[in-house]
Amino acid sequence: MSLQLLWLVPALPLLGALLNGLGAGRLPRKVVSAVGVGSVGAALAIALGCFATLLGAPGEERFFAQTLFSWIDSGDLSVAVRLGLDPLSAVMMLVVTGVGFLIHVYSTGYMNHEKDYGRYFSYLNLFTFCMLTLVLADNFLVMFFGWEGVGLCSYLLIGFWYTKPSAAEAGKKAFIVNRIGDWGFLIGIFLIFVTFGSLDFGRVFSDAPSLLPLGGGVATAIALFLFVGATGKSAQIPLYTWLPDAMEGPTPVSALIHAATMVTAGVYMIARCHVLYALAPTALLVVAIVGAATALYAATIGLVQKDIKRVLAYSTVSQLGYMFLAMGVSAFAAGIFHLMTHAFFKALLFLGAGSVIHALSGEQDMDRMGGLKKHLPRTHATMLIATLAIAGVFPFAGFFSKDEILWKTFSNGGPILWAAGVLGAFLTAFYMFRLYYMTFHGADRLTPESKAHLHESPNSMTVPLMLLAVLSVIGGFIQVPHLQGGQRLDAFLEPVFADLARVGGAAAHGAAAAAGHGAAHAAHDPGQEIALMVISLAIALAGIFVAHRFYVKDPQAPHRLATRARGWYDLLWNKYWVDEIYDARIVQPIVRLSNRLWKEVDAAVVDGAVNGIGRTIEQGAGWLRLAQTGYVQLYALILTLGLVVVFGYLALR
Amino acid sequence: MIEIVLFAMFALTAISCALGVVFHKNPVHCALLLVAVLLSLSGLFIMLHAQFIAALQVIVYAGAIMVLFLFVLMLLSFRRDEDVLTPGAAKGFGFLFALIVLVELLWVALSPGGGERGAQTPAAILSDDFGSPAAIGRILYTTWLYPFEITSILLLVAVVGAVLLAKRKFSG
Amino acid sequence: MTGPAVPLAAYQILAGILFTIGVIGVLVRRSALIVFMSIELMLNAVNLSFVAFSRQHGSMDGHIFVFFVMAVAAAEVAIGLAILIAIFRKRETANVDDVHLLRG
Repeated sequence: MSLQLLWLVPALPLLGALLNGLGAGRLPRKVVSAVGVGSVGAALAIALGCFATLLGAPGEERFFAQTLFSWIDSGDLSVAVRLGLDPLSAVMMLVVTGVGFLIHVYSTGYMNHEKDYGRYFSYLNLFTFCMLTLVLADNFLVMFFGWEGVGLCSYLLIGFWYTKPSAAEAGKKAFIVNRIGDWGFLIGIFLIFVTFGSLDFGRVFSDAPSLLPLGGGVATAIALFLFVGATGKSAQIPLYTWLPDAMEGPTPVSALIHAATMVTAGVYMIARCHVLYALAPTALLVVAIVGAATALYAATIGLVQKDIKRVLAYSTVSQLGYMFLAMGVSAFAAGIFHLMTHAFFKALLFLGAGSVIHALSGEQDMDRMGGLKKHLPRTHATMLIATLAIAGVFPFAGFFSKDEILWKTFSNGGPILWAAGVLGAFLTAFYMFRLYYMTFHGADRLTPESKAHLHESPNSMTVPLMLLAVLSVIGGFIQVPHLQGGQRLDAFLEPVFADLARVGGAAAHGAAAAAGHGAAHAAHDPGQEIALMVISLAIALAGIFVAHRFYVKDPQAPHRLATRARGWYDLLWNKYWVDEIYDARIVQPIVRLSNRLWKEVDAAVVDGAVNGIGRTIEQGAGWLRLAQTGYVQLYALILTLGLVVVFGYLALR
Repeated sequence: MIEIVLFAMFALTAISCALGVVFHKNPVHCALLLVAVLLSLSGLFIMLHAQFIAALQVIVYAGAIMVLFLFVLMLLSFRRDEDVLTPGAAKGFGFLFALIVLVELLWVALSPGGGERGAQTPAAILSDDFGSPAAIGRILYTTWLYPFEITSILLLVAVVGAVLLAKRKFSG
Repeated sequence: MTGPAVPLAAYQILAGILFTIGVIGVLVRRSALIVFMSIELMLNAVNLSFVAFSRQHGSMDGHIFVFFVMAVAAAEVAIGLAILIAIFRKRETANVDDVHLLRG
């Protein structure tokens, strides 16, 4: 497959978005589905073809750029719309199109009763286009275009049911919080342009090691500002608050945008800019700490949530924390690996939750679920696989990726970060199986309304579930630990991260080692690796065991614990009151300031000036009007006066 | 000598009749006094060798325009003005400005003047047919043809306008 | 002929006086018809002035001017009186103080 077709990968979904958007409401449902799903399907086919072609080339030559047209050419700034395909972007591209395709198929079933079917698919396709632009971009500005675009689509899709006030509010919140992150991202881009004179990835990353001193202020500043953007887009502390609220959107949206793709943009960005981050060890440390903290923090909140989607949302925040932790300890390939596996099982979890909600006619509160194992067999089976994967149980995908992160953290980041990660893993296993048990096992706590139409979901929904389940099982095998050999993903991504070797200094040495130069340094300590693997597995199983205790064996146990540790329970239940703190300390002052500016500056000064001019003219006109008495003789009098003046002038000349 | 006497006579008539026009109560009296002014002026024109103009003055001005005035006077049967003059400050300002105008005009008239055509230059020698219809005709239809034609259009417009304006019933 | 006995200045002064009387009439009288007559007075004063200058310079142009002034005066009087009749028919008054419809 010719790589010249690369541009079709983002272009086809864009076309689908336009067709469905313009024809919304007028096209029959079948056409909308065909266009919406078909465009992503075709993009997936082409993506697979390009990937195959890329594989065909030898390692060092796995790079292809396609310039579409020149975008900005002004003074020193020259930016073209340019797509770049290398192993990293190929992986991302496949994840987006692959998981995206499955979710599009799923949506045809889930959104079947939806009135705004066409609008939904149009937005979903538009999102796919923006995300693909983001990952295939070859310079910062095109990436930023995609970055902003996915933010917009997130807003549109979260607030899809815009007549519902909470959905509209959630959409606004997502967009605004993202915007704060985007501010940081933009500052980063500005700094990059000022430092390098160009925004092209190729130039920036090849010039960086020579231009920026290791650990220098500029590099750190750039890295930190870009990371601010990442915290916004990928929902890390402190800009994560939008993601739980984003569950107001349709469940497939939550699966696609807020699990598999958009929120991973920050992780991808750091992987892409690894050279810059390697030059700023302080920034990397910040990334790792924030990642670990977020992983742990979000897991604690997820322990007590009752809404099934909210648990998954906090789980996403937590898992993203793991990815950033990996980035922070320079385990870039490991982070991407976890991104990929997470996309599989998190999408599966969300789609499964959607299937449950669909079956229960909209019920999302786990307190009112239970015993669904027999009613929803396929959903149950696939969700069990996903839950095992996310808990990190061998041999599912999540085990390999999470284990690798923890191992790399231990060897590069130190025991504290590792301990945080391990604790988080335990909590993850616990609350995910809590979700599983509460939903599918135990006593039937369903309401009559939910029971009314209780049925397994149609094929359009269950087939994607099954496909994702397969991926969740085998997805880990492309990167089994060093001992067994076969680090295929690492090897595949190696050319991308090879330039870390050029970054001088001991830090880079460690970074290059961790990023997947693999074999030579893996022989650090096979014993260590096995020990850590065993610990990871044990922790996961422990979490499952405790969850089983609490929710199957002894269902009253959670309630007893909650009553005894009321304070802790309230803290977690109210999400540490972060939303309330943000509102009181940040939002309200801004609102008050805005009101003041509105009333005192805009209304009084600006409007006053403009209206004042009007009023002044009116008054002036009023005075001038006094001369128009209508009395002819007065006019004659004034005429005469003029006459006198003219005569006088002529006479005295 | 006789010219001076004639001039004085005509001038005094003109001035006193003019004052009468402005200050009399009965409009008919005012109209007739205006006719007297016009006739005195006509006499002055003859003294200035403007025969044709003098004749025109009598025929057109006194004969047509003033007759028109009198027609309107009779038609509308104006009452005697009780209050002749505009009351109040306007009257004062009016007199004031008029006085200033007079002063200015006198100033100009009595100033020595200068240049080729100033007041102190001796009166030109007049041609034989100065002021005759022939002389007027000669320049009217050559140098001043354009204004002449336009004036004729002006008169046409005036006729049409007057007829329209004075119609008893306005249709739309 | 020899130089005229009456100097040019005399005629100018007379014209000025007549003009001024006309101005007074326009500004001070309340009856519209009398105002018209005062305007005629002013025009005649100007005519006198023109003819006197014409005599002084020996040029017929002054006479032509007077000719045109008369023509225009005739037209003006015709229209003006027509308007006056129209107003008087409507409002039964020819008092300039009562007709101020053009008030701003």
